Amino acid sequence: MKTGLDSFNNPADIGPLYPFVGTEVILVVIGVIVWLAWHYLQTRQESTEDDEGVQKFHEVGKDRVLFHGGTARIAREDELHGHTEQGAPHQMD
Amino acid sequence: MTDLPSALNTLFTEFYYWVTVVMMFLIHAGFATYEVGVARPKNAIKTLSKNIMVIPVVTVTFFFFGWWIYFAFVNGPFINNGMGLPESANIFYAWSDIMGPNLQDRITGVFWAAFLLFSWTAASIISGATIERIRVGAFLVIAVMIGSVTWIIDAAWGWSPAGWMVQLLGYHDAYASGVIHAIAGGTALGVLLVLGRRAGRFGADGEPRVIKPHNVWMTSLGLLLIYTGFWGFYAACNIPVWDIGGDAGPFFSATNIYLMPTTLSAITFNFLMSLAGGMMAGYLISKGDVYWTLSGGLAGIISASAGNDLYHPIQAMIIGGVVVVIIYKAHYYVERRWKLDDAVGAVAVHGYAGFLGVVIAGFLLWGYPAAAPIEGSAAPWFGVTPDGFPAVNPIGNFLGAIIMFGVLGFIPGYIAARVLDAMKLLRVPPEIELAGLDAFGAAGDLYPYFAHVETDYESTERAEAADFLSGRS
Repeated sequence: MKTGLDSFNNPADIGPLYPFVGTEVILVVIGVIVWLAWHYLQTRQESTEDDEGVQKFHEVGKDRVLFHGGTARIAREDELHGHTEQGAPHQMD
Repeated sequence: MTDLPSALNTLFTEFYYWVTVVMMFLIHAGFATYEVGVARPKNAIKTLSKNIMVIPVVTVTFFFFGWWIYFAFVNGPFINNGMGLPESANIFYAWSDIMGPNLQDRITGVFWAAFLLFSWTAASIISGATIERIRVGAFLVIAVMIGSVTWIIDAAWGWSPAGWMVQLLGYHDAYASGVIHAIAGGTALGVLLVLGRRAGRFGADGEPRVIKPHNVWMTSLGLLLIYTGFWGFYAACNIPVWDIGGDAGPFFSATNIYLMPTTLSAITFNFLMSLAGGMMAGYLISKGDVYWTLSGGLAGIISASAGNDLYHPIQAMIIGGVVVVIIYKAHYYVERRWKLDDAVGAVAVHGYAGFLGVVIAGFLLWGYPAAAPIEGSAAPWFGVTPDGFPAVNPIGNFLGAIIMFGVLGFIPGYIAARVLDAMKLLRVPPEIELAGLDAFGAAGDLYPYFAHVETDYESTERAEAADFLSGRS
């Protein structure tokens, strides 16, 4: 059983070093399928995440989301009550 | 590989390109650092995610078809004398046995990688312009388009000794003012026109509002890293050892990509002097703004790159300085006039500077040999040298700049963005944009242990949120 070379004698006659020489076209087809599938899955994942985000945004309300001052999480109820009318950041106890 | 001198030459060339690839990785580290620094904290992680995912998607596609395009599209196809795809390109199919470990070929892998790093760069330039509102998936599709298709077509046309633009127009662009930077700037412009501006970026009367970087030091460090990687880029644009002696006998030298002579010393002089000219001008024109000083240095190099194999260093310095003043003014003019929200000035720093750099090289290098003529080529359109080589000239380079920025840059970028927009895949929903790209999902908070202090801009953003959500701003 061998998958490729079994000797490195006569290096001038040796070309490809990888196993399963002759399967290159199949490997390329597999690679292209993986690449396209990755884009499809990434797009679907991102769309789902965006849809959930939009839903959460409307559940919580824009004032509550934005009152946190633009950080990357939605403010908790107690934090919200700490805001002034001008939207000053909540002071942590 | 059986006689020592030729073996050493081959192994040196292999190692040379390998080193340039490692150095060019710093360009990407720089882009990532820089763009995260520019983004607001609520968008920083998605910005980083977008930037790092350029690496795998462009790499695999450049393997599958990008590298073959470089050799296959040199004639257009069918632009130069009706010549189609050269058979010699067939060895660069992804399934060729030299596209892998092969004891009889030591150059393809490292040469492929050097070009691949240029591909990442072209894609990353667009990344910065579009931060804080483009979807990651949309950006990655555009990244594949420019990284593995459009830029490598332009390289086949104008950055190869056999390219039809070189042979017919006398196009000269040794360190890629147009080939990388103008095309990326043009693509960014096309995408931005469809993508639109960030929420609240312009006031009710159209006045631009400044969205400050969240970390100026990170943006500065990022640009310094890009400078560092740019050294590798310059070296990678050269052929390290080539016999340019011709009929006069052997004479070994470094050459540019067109196999015309230059030296590493020459490009070192000019890289530094154009950098210096750009930084000095950037500092003055922006009244000492660190971001524009560093971006000015980058634009200075880009503007002189087309001819930095041959310029005098002081010519390179002057070009860098003058172009930076022009692109700085142009950036703010376009921003005010057309409300273009280019978050990092990429269209100006890469697009305008690259375009002008190509045009200037056409004048300053007028009459220089562009490349040796190839068999079967039509006669050059705008003149030949006494040796019969296509001559560098202003018309050819001006047309070349339009092809780079407009034909292969702006138009594909605009079309791709329109298609993605029609599929509702281009821009994040307004709710996500307002809350922050990192607010939902797995991204998380960039600085979980730091208290956030609200900026004036965020107050404005909140005040106008209702209008933005209803599509009125």
